[in-house]
Amino acid sequence: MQHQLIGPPNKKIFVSITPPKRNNLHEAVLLCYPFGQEYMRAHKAFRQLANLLSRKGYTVMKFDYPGTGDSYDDGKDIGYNEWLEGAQSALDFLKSETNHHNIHVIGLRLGALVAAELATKNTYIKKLALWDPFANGASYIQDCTAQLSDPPFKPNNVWNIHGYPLPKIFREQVLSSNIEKMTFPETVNIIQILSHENHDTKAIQEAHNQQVTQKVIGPESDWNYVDMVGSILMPTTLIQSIVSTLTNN
Amino acid sequence: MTDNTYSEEVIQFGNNNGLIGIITKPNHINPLKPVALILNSGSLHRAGACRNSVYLARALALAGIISFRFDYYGIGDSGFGGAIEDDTLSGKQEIFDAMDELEQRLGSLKFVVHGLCSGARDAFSSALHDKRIIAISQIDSYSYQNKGYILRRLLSFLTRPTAWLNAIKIRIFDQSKNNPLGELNSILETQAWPEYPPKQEIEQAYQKLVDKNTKMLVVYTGSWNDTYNYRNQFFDLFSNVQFGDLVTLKYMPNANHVMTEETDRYEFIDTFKQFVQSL
Repeated sequence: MQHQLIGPPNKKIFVSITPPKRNNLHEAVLLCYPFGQEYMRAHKAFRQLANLLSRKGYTVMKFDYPGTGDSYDDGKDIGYNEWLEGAQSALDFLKSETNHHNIHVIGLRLGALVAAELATKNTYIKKLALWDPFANGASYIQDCTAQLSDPPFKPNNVWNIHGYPLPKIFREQVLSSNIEKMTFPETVNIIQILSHENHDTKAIQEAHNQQVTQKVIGPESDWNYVDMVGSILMPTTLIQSIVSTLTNN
Repeated sequence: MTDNTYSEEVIQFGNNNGLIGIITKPNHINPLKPVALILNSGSLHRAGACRNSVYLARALALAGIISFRFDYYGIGDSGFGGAIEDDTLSGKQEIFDAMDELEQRLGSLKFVVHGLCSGARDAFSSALHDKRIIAISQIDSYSYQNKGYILRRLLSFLTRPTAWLNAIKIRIFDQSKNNPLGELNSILETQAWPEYPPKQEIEQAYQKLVDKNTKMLVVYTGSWNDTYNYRNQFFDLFSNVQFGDLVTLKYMPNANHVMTEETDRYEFIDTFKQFVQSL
């Protein structure tokens, strides 16, 4: 395992690389976390996903976006564009460290939106796995609004989503991100892996019908459920399905 | 991570370098102060619930205090393995390993160990066995219902008609409906806490900490109201222990367990900073 902080001195992001445990496939996978309490609840699931993929022969990398986890900043004035820059830095680092030509990206929830953005810009990405994705930033903001118990008027207009700051600049910038309108290189194989179908996943399927395959694996993961004591989600069957889908496709 | 005031370094340590942690080091270190260890809480990794461990570490750095937040085996980015402790009060080996590592790297011989919930109990048990731990900080640690608790609970119930109504509603709901989260149970990994040891055992352990002159910051939040509901309940619970001035007690009835509100978070961080500055 290789864990480090990369980037310029005042903008370091945390990355964690799990090398292949056997049968090195010379392919790598970048995992894109969701945001906020979903990030905390998914952290262990990502750990399991990374371990299973490494056993299949992949090099796997996880990273924390700016303003989240162990990366720089307190998150109160981080924009979505800074997340995309951080994700691109992580991807560049993974490519330079491994020198692999086949790289795949898996994103969960808001992380799926980030992963999709990466796939539009980096032609060496071969597979894009969207795990319970939001189809666009507007849908994400709508989801956040539904979770706010108080009117979202906080100091400096930073929303508090279950203890995690979501600043105005982030909310504004994420609105321009929309998987339905993205154009992907023809070489990208897009896979939707879902705990359940919803309006967002149907919209993605319709927009990219020729390029998307879809798997629905239950039971439904309620990412919005919050118990204030730190319970986590561990959808083992779904994680195994992601691994087999990535390996077999 | 570096800015003008501190730097951060990822380190691996323990058996086969299987443990991972992050040292947050101020550019201007106060050499007289202990190093703060920030522990895991339940299954949550070293960033902490609501990223509170990261905020705490960086706030301490601004006050000249070095901190180290790390993952136990099986949690976060640390490897698998690790020992299962014989009993609740035996202390976690990973905490001792972390102190050994920091002693080698930084020459640190004094530590203050902070934890939330299970982390608070780990801080407590480790301090019983290692003289390098001169202070601990516990949020929502051991608590037990006592007479004062029951009296206040009863009074609160009797004086609020809505409480009566809710109690009736809950009973009806329980009888008529299955657990609405039942379908999720197969994938929802909830925190399962071991039963607390008998109060007398914990009281004796607190006496041991007093005997070794361990300073304690003890915090309870409103989420612990199943067993803790008034400011000085801690002293009533463990009334046989002569704490003297070793305990700083703080009751935050309006805060929840993971401190989702920024004002609660920074109220605690300020309290913790003052506590460490006083050591």
